[in-house]
Amino acid sequence: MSISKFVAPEIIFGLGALSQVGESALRLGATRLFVISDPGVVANQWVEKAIARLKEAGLSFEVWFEVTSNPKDYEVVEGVKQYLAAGCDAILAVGGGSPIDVAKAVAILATNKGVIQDYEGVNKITRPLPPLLVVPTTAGSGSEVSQFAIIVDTRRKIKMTIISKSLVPDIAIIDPVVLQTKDARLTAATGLDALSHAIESFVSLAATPLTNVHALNAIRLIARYLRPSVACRTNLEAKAAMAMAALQAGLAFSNAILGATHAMAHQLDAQLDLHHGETNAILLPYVMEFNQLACVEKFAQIAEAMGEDPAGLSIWEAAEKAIRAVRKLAGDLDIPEKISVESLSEEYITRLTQNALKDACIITNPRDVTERDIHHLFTLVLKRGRAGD
Amino acid sequence: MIDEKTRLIENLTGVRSSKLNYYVELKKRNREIVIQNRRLEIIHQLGRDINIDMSLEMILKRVYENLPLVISCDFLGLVMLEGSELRLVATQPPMPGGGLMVPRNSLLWETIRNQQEQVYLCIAGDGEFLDQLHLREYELCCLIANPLRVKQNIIGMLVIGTRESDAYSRNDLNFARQLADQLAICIQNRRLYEEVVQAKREWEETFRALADPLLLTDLDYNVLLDNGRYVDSIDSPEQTGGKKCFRYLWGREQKCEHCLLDEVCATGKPAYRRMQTGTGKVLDVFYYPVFNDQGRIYGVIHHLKDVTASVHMQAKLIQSAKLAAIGEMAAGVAHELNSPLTVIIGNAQILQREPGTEHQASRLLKDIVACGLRCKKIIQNLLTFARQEPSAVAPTDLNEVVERVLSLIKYQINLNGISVYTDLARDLPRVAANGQQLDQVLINLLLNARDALEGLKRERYIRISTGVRKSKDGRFYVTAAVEDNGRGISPENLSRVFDPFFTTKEASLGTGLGLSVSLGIAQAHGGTIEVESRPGEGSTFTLVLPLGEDQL
Repeated sequence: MSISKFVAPEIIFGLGALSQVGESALRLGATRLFVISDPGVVANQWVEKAIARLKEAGLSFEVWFEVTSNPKDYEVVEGVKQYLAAGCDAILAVGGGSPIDVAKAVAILATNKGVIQDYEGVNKITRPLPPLLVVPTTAGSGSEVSQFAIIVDTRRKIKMTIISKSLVPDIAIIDPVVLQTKDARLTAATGLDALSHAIESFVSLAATPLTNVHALNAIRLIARYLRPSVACRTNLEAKAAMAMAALQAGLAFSNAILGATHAMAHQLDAQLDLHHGETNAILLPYVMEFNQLACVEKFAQIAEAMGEDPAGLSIWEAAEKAIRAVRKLAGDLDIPEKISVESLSEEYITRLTQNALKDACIITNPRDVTERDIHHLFTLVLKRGRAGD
Repeated sequence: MIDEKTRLIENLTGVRSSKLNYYVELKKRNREIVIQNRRLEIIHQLGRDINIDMSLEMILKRVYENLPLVISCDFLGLVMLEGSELRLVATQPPMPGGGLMVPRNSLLWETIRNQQEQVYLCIAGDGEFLDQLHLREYELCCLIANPLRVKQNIIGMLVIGTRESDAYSRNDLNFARQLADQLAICIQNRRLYEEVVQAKREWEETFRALADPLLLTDLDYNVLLDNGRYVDSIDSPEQTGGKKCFRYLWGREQKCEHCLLDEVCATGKPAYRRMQTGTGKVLDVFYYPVFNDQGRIYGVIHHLKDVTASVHMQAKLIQSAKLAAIGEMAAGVAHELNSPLTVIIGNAQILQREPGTEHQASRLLKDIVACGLRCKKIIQNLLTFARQEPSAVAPTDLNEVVERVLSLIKYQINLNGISVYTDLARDLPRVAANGQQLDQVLINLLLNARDALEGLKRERYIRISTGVRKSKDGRFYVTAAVEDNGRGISPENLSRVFDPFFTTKEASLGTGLGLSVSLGIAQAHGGTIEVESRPGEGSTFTLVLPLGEDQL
């Protein structure tokens, strides 16, 4: 590809960066903010702290905390209603990928008319969005820097992907202190999610030198700091490193897109309510095995980034080490090898396969995929059992 | 396949897109607002500019001047429903041979028949529609036909057209409809205004056509409206604005003594009075109250009707009826006297012929016969005068009239100790006149002269003179003047002596009709009666009658 683009929001990174939220909003010209979060984040008082900063800056606000994970279209409808009724002129999202995606969707409908389904796909937005500030509380979704928003269409039972440069937030405030409140399981899931972002964007057909730098560094940081970060909540060095890793993985994948892992994961997310990071972590090694044929050299680089020593190894062997390193990391963090589902019927897998083939992420997968390939991958990764185990 | 994949990847990574920018959005919105403002301005201007004097062509021209700034527009057409026909009454740019009738099968008719709101037509330059209206040369691609509605009725259509294809957005269509609505209101207002002005004009003309003064005043005598008529043309007309009615009509500084305005206000009912002007006109003045919506009087209409002529006519009728009665009585009396007189004269003459009656008796008999004969002559004249058959106009000698009249009443005048002199012109031309009527005039003048001398201590006389006069314009007149040295007439009464019913005498003595009827007779002969008077010294009334060419 001869022409590429790299977009990123204004990023404020560092321990205590949350204190910048009031002034940042003021600089964007906001007077009344619509604060979106979810109950879990609110419980951890990060919203309260952010709001205190807004008050300090003399800004008024309206809060709305009714976001669930895998945000639904009707939640967006409700959010826009509240936003317009409150007469807000900017949006602040505090939380993981869900509140940020909802914030993006609310922003779309605040200035563009219609329903969120109208904007599914690439570049459907016609009017600028209100200023959008995001404070990610989980390292991993990448939504804070990306041009994507994923919303579940509850009627069609699918995840809609909305792609537009206008969805890149105006300011992303990343404070590693915030990550301390995540429990071990969430830390592991979001960390592995970031790893899947980094690896998939690194081998993506749309990867560029600018995205590669971020992707490789993210892999390196995750391989080194994810285990200590899961292990100890108060390890601020590990938390800061994981925050940077998630940010860089986010920058990489939002510009280079992802691959088959995410195309498949999106289908399971919509069905299962499993944490997206965990689903990705289970799928990733299988997809890497499938993709190895296409990008053995990059896999070798991944292996090296993950701390494997390539000295004396063939490039093929080095690539194999990358897959093993990923499996090892997931295994260390108690991630199962397969995904349990209630039914393994042929129709069920066929439906998953067909939907995955329609997913935008499939396009940038380094190896061409056929229906048979995906079908085969799903049969490898799924097992009969209680869903979510 | 590969291209397709490349394209998809480009889409996903957003190579072809950028974050939407508020500056650009702002500029776009500003542009829209500016256009919207201009549109509102045009609609507003339409309401403000268009007035009754503007033709439909002018109206359309005004609209067209600014329209291209806010909507793509290369053609503007105004179609009006006239009776059962639809006519293209004006176009911009103007089209030669306007007033084209719209064919029945035209889309415009269809729109009206179906009561449609608006029709947007993309015809790409070759529509049958354009041919029907001879618009092909405008090369229009898109047309909006907007019905002009007044309440539920369509009164016409505004057609906006452009050479651009696919030119009009929903916004444009909305604007076109608003424009049409406003235009419909303007056209309707213009029509209504015309009707009102026309009705007003008709009323004003009616008002002015009246020969009598008619004015509307408020309750403080201020003239609100007038029809430009005055009681006398010699009165100097003043501007109505802020003028009082008494000043406007009479040149007075205070309200008239007998004004009934107060009475009208009090009773709320019309009032009437008759009055006489200083110049001798008789006016019937009517006062009509004018009420406002609350039923309160806010003004009064004064209607002054000049009834001088009819009053004169009435007077004449009364006088002639009176004279007729007197004449009849006189004729009866005269006839009764004739027989005894014949006996007296006859017997006296028989006695004269008796011999031996000399000296004193014969002289007395001679007197009896002479006086008897004189009486007979007087009775004869009286009978002649009183004879009812109207004598036709005939050449009449004024001197004869004077002598005839004197024979009737000289005795009566002498009785009062008044000397009567005559100064009759010789060779006085005869004048075409009704001798009896002239008798009446002269009797009147003589009796008036006698009355004027009544009760004066000095030596009193009446002088009757006749003559011929030549006026400045070369016409000739015969005159008969009756001069007395009586008490004269005061200046304020001088102008009124000819008014009917005007009299200074006691009611039992005069009716106030004599001079008025006399003047009527003189005027009927094309002449007049002149009056001169010096209070305390006497008066002269002169009957002046024009001579025809052949009478000289």
